[in-house]
This record gives sequence, C-alpha cells and structure tokens, in this order.
Amino acid sequence: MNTNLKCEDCQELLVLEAYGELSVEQKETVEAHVAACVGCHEERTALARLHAAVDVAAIEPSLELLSACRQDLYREVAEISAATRAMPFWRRMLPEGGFWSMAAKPAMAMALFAAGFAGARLVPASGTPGGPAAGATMSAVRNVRYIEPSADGKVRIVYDEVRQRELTGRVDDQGVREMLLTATRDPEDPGLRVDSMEVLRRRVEHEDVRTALVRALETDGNEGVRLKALEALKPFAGHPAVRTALTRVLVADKSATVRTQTIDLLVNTRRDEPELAGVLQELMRREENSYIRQRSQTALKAMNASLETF
Amino acid sequence: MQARELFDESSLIRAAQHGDHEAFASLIRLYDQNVLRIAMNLLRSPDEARDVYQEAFLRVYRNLHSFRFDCRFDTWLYRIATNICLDHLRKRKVRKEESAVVETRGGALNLLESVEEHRADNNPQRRLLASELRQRINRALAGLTPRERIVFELRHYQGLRLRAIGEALGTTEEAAKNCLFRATQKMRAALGDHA
Ligand SMILES: [Zn+2]
Repeated sequence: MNTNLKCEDCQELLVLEAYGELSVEQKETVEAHVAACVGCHEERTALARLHAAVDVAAIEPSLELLSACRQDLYREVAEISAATRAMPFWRRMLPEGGFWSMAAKPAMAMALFAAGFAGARLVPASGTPGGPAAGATMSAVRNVRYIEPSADGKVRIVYDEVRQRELTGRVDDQGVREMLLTATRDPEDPGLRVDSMEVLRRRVEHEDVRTALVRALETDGNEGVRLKALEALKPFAGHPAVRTALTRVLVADKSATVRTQTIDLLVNTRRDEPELAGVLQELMRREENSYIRQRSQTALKAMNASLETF
Repeated sequence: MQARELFDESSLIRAAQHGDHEAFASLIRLYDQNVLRIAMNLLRSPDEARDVYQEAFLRVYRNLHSFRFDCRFDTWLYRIATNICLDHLRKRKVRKEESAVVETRGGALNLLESVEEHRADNNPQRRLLASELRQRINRALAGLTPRERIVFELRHYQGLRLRAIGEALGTTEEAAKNCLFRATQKMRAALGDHA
C-alpha cells in the first residue's frame, strides 16, 4: 500500500475514479490520501460538479432523426445492391478507394484472394463434360460471377442460372405467404413490392403481414410503395403497434403526400389520445405543409387540447 | 445471456457477409443508435450526425466482407465511426467554422431538435440556466483537440471503457487515459466556477 501518494498523482487518479476506472488497490490508495488532504478532497468535489454539468449538455438524438438516418441508409444500400448485381463478381470485391490505410491493404488483398478461391470452389456439380458449355442457353444466365483464363487458352466461367418456377396456391398456404412476404422486401422492383402488398392486404389481420407492411411504410425508399403499405394498414389504424408507427411516419416521412394521408388516417380514427395530441402539437411547430398544419390544428381543437402547453 | 447475444451477433454478421440484407439491417439496429449518439454529441449538429451515420454504415456495408472476427464488431464499427467524426472535426478546424451552437439547415422537416429539448421543464429560470451552461460546455468542448474530444465523449457520453476507446482509436489504453486527463483539465479550466 502506497501512502506516499503525491497530490499530482492523486489528482490524476481522481479523474479516472470519476469514471470508475480504478482498480480496488488504487481506490484504497486514493481514499487514504483524500481523507488526509484538503486540496485533493476539494479537487474530487470539483470533478463531481464538472461531471454533473457536462451531463446537462448530453444530447440524445431524436427518434425522428434515427428513423430518417435509417431510411437514407436502406435507400442507399438498395441502390448499391441493385447496381452491383449487374457488376462482375470480382469488381464487387474491390474496396472503395481512400478508406483503407496502407496498413490495412494487405488484409484487403487477402480478402480478395480468399473470396475468389471460395467462389471457384462453388462450381456446381453440373460442370461435368458436356455440362454448362453445351447446356447453358443465354436466357438462363443471370450473371457471370467469376472468370478464370487458363494457360491452354480455355476460360472457366462461373455463372448464376435463373430457373423460373411457378407456384399456385392460396394466400394462406405457408409457402405462398412466405413468398409474398419476401416479395414485399424485393430490393429491385417496387412494382413487385406493391403487387405483393395488394394481395397481402386481405390478410392484414395476421401479425406477420402487418409487420411487413409497417416495415415497408417506415423504410421503403419508394413513395408509391409506402402509400400502398399505408392503404393496406388502414383497417388496423387503431392497433397500438400500427398507431405508433403511424405517428413516427407523420413526423419523419419525407413525402408530403405520405404525411397528408397519414394525418388523415390518424385523425379519422382518433380516440382520446394524449400521445397523438403531443405529436400534433409538435407538428404545428415544425410541419411546413399548410394542409397538414391545418388538419392537426382542427384535430387538436376537437380534442380540446391546448395549443400552447406541451 | 451474453453468450447468446454474441452468438446472435456473429451469425448476423456472417449472414450479412453473404449478402443477406435483413441480417445487415438487424445488425445495424443493434448499434446505430449508439453511433448516432456519438456523432451527435461530438459534432453537435444533426445534419452532420446524419452524414456521419450514412458514411459509417455504408463503409460497414462495403467492407463487411473483410471483417475477420479478430476484434469485436462494435470496436470495428466505432473505429470507423470515430474516424469519420475526426475527419469532420478536423475539416471544421481547418475551415475555422467551429461553432459552439447547434447548427440548423432548416428545410422541410426540422429534424434538428433533440429529445432533450422536448423534456419540458416548466421552470423558465432553470431552463435559462441550463441553456447557458450548455452553451458554455459546448464552447469548452470546442476547445479540445479532436482526439481529446473523442476520448472525452466516448468515455463520458457513451460509457466506453478506456481500453475499448484505445482500441477504437487504434492506440493504447495509456494514450486514451492521457487524452482523458488532458480533456478533463481543459474542461475544468474553461468552465471555471460554473462547473
Ligand atoms: Zn493531495
């Protein structure tokens, strides 16, 4: 046990103590010193005041901001993945320029090599004599994944083959329903997403269907798809989870059309809801669309809520 | 509990590495609120925080295939995010645009307000004091070097251990400790009696 702790060293330890970063032994040393030293005792109090003050300045980002960030990201990722699908496999593996430091570059090269190697081993068993070279028709080739020229002038190509199949069944058949739910998330075709929702809306009483619709409403980058999801959710506008999602959309969606239809739906199905009143008052402050502001004002008056207090 | 979470996280990472967008989205949702909070507290600008969010997760998306599980995923993620924040802070310093107040871009929806502003405090006197103090602290934070600031924020607002901060910044625990010490000293000097 070190009882000869210098004030300077003690004060350094006090900074760490405030964050709970001291070992038990260090803590004992500090306690012993502070008990006997007025200066360090004051230092500890001052640090506690600093912490309390700094806590006041902490910012918790709003959920609207978070939701806007997520929408940005999903949109961008969907675009990238649609674009890279048309790109040869090896090009997709190239890192973007500038990000990787020099030190990280060898690791990148290794990753490229390993991926190429794995790709090569994924050649389907049909690569037997008379296999792809003879059998593949161009219409069946979706995209070429890997090209490997060899010394004897031949080229080895790994490609994806599209096989179209048909599935007919009732919406309630598990296979059909799963396929439809997958289609609501199709990264490339908004039309397909809308079509699947049009069928699924007849089963909106099922939770998995509602979850898919809410997800589309909150994250789909395409306005038409979001409107379709909103329309399909209408019969369940009073359902708590749906309602919460609707209030989030009302403040976060970029499209005035979506916000307008959302406020109509929320207001037309309102009951006595303090949460809704809060969101509407919030809208009065920041909504730029005059119809939406007017609509929330009318609803607020009807709800007898004061416009001033929050 | 912890083991289960770890298991779930690594299977999410593996699925996302194989192009599963749902898995990628779930993985992001584990940490994106933290990343946004870090960016928001460091940059004090919702617009910039939004840019950092986008840039950080796009880098994660593009480089996830190179993640080899040789460090924790969140350490890797925070390293990416804090590097981007550092770039933003340095650019600001160069442009001498450093501003202690939260900027606004205006625009269609005012996403700029933070939840904290909504925490209604009905006492105007107390509200004024809090807002004055907040401005002083913002100015004090602006007086730190970008690195000191990141260490201070990660430790204070994010609650990361010094060792994790060192890892995220690609440095040692000792270096992070020194940064935290200097940052605290500067903050105390800048805030004086107000702290
Ligand atoms: Zn002392």
